[in-house]
Amino acid sequence: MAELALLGVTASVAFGFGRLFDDAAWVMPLFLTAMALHGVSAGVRRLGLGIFLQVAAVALTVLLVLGWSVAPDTLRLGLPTGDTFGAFADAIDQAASDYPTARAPTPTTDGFILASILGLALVALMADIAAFSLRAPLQALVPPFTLFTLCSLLGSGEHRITSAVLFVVATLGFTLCVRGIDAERAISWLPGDARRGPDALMRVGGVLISVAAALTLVIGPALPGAADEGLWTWRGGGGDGKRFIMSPLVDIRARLVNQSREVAFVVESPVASYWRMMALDDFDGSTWTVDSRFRPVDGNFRNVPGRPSDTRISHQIKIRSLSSEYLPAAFQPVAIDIPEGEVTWDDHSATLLLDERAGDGFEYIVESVLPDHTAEQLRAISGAVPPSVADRYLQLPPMDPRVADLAAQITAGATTPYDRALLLQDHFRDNFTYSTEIPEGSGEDQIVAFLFEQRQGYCEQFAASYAAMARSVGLPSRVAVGFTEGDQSAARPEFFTVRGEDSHAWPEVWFPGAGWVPFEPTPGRVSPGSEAWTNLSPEADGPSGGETTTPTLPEDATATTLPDDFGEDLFPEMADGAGGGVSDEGDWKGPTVLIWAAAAVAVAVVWVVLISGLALLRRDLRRRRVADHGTARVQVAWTEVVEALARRHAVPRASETYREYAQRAGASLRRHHDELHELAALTTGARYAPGPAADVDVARSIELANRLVRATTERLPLWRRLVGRADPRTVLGARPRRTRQQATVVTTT
Amino acid sequence: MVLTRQGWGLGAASLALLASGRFFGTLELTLLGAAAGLLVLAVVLRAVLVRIDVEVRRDVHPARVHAGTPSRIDLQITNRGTRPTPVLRLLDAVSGTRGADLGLGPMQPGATARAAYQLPTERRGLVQIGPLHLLLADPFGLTAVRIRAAGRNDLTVYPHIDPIAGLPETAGHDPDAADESPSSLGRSGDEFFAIRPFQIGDELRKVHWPSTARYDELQVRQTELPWQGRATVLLDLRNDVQTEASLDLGVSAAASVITAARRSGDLIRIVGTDGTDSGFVPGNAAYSAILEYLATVPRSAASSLTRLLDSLARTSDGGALVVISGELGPHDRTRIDAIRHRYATLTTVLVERSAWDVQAPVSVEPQRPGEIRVRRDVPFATAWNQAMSSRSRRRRSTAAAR
Repeated sequence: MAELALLGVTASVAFGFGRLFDDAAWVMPLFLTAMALHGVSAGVRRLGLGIFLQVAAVALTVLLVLGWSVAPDTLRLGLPTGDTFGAFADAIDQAASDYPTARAPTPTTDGFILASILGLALVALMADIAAFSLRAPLQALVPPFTLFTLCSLLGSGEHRITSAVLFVVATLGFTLCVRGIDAERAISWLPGDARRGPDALMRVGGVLISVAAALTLVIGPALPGAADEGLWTWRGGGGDGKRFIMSPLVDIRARLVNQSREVAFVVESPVASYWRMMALDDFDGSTWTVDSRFRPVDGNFRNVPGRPSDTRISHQIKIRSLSSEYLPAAFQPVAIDIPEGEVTWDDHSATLLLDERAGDGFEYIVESVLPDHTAEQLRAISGAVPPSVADRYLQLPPMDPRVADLAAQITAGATTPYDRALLLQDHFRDNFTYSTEIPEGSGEDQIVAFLFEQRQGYCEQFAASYAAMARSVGLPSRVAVGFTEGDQSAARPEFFTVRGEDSHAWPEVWFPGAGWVPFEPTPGRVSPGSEAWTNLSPEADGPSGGETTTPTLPEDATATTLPDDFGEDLFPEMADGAGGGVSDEGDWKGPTVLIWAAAAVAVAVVWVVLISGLALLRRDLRRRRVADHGTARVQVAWTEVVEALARRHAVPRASETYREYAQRAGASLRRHHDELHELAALTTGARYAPGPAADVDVARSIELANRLVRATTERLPLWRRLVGRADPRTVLGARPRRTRQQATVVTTT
Repeated sequence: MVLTRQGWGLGAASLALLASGRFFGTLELTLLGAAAGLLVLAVVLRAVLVRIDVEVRRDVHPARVHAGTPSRIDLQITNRGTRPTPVLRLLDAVSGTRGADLGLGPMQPGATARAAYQLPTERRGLVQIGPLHLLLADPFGLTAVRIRAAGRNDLTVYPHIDPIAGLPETAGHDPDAADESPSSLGRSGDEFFAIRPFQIGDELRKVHWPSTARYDELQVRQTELPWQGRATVLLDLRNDVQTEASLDLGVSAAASVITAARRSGDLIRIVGTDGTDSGFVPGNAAYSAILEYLATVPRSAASSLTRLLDSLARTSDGGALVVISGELGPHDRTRIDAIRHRYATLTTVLVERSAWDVQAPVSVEPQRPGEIRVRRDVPFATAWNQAMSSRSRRRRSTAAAR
């Protein structure tokens, strides 16, 4: 019984993993692990084989489950082979690389499933050994609690209440079972109470657990501070996994792949633009970095020799879940107005840096000068690149010569630097496809693989490869990191909602006299405002072109991104779930609960029908077996009556005669105790008289027995009758337990 | 306090969980803390609000018991309330043991349950029973409410009494007797004392005819009171001579001797080295009082045996003297022998070490006449009966020789 309860605890912890994962692929492996592990442990314990053999058996079982769940195609006859271990190693590597950037809920990958199975198995094994071999049941709850808390800290906002309540119920139930067993064994009960006493204790305990669980379900979430952010954030993200750290390039893939729909920030701007955060210009062959020198700025900090055609805009940015020191703004910012904090500025990379991570609700106003180049102006540019620029922006590490060759080949027909840049851009847009399925990285190996083998990637690869190739043909370039313009509200077109999935990287090329000019090699994206020199138009290359894996909303669905109740507030407070996936899940809660309830009811009905059917069958078989022997038939009649009575009234004692039992039990029958006495007399006569019982006596005893059984069941309330029907003891034939005389207690006779 | 240590622990854990839930911003920890706190609250409410109306009657059977005879407590528990009782524990303190700890299942209103448990009656002494508590606990062990159901009872366990042969020659110097030195032959004296009705067996010579004529009933002249035997038991309680175990044996021996003397109608007197002196008081009350005293008498501080012997010798009225002690040195034994002449008989009962210490070797000192040594292989009753039968044989042989 306690083993089942411990299985319940493990199962509730397994259910808690639902907070980490997006889909349901984890359900089967984890529950299978739990059941197999506890079943094997119970079996080993029954055989008395000791702890070491238990650990060995469990390890074997876990291996089988792992093989079946993670790499089923490498199994032969269901057993793991050498390939299976190779698959395990791959899965672990994948998980290790995914983990730093993964945010719950993540899709289940093999690696994560493997890690979860191992974790759950370890915890369940420790709990099992502690509870049953070391007999320390309270300490046995520590490993499951640890794992549960770990999932809480890593997990997201779904199923939290359910898993917490389940865990509470399972833990308390296990404690109750253990205490019930202790009570049965350790306490000397009064005669007759050895069963009733512990049963009553368990009943009271069950009621207490139910009350506590129900109240927790109702009151718990309503407690002050229950749903607030933690005072100390963990992994830069609290318990809901909504915050993320911005770090250039590495983080792009995570947000892109996870399709994070968390609103990073909201911009109110007269024109659309890419919102740029910073630029990376130092490539060492594996990563792109920047060497910045910041100076504190306030207000107007840059005097740009602007042309009259340049557009000067003022836009307000309000940070949401973007947790970063870098402040996104349209390129090129010239003035900033922040409410508090200190801002520093790097002239080279055009980066605005706050002195701490911008929190949720931080808003600032930036004035930017948007470049207004035209293709003719840029084409007319010619001239050498000054050494200061060349030193920094033409540097390339030794690379595969094929890269430079390809670049030269592509730009062979160009005469001006601008044309070279344009040809490179078009080469990527025309010959490559967009995909987030490839592993992250923008180092030399990835660039080579991207250019010559895969020909598909996402913005990181496009931007980095473009920059490398541009440098190789003498175009100073760098990789800018930021966000696309985001979702523009149809109702209020000056609002742009920028989400995690809008993370983007694009190259910038330097032209003497024009400065840094952004290009867009990534197919399917167009930098707003850059159509003049990139020769791209938003309609031609819509977001659906080439984007095979990103289910981003098409642009005309932006109407749903902002709620309609703006009121006076320009940036209305959006609940945390408005942008993310939590509100979507909220709609499912109703039907899911109903489905579970219906399933439970169906199971209960099937169970009751099954048990009562089997009980009837057993009774008929028993009667048929003794149909010929009058004496035995009378005794069977008596047994039936005793079984009906024992569950409620009096348990027969080993030392009692039929009459004594009738005396004792009859006291609670009131109207029928005469009949019980008569039946007792008949049974005594049948049993002890020398000859066989007379037929008339047999008939009379059958009649009395039927009447008594009916009377006892009719007196019970309906629900008790149902419970009695569902009681498996009626089928198993477990005799109502005879009382055990305790050695230390002497009863008065 | 309603909450047990586990209850307080769970309450503290609940607060810790709530705090850490707030600190880390995780809802689950807050929920766990809330669940723990609500459980504690629910359990406390149940403990406070449950009404128990249970009557417990406690009887000791038998009320008077000797060491080695079993005695038990019978409990009758009745539910006088209108609702079934919850699961209760009966806790009855019994001195010298852990006490009784019984589980009581739910009882319907008006139902009665019976229980019994043994009392520790292997050794003499006073067994204090009670008070009886009913403990209402919850299935998780978080609360415990004690209700007092019965008060204290005391049970005196008298020392073990062996049936032994009576003391010979307890005839003493009866102050009302005519003769100074009694003899075992011939009881009649010369002095007229009283007239009493004739009883079958009286000698016809003694019939007093004038009174017979007056009362129309045979009257007999009585010259002496029927002599009453006297037996004095000196119990050595000094803690440098006796251990607890040896004192138990000595007290058992003393009780056996006193019972045997009482059976043969002698007056008994017990003197202890702690200063107790019961005097020769006849009757059941005195006998019971002596047994009560013997049931609980502890060892006393070391005092002078010699002084006590001297006072005994001075106030002696004859009769038998039985000295019961542990292992006495030769000096003490000599002093005891010195007052032999003041008493008709002197018997010394010495409890040797081997009788109570299982590891001590059995000594092989020979039994001297008048001395009874209790050893592991020779218990008191056996040694006494042997000594008495050999003494009566000696007397018969001496008498026969005379």
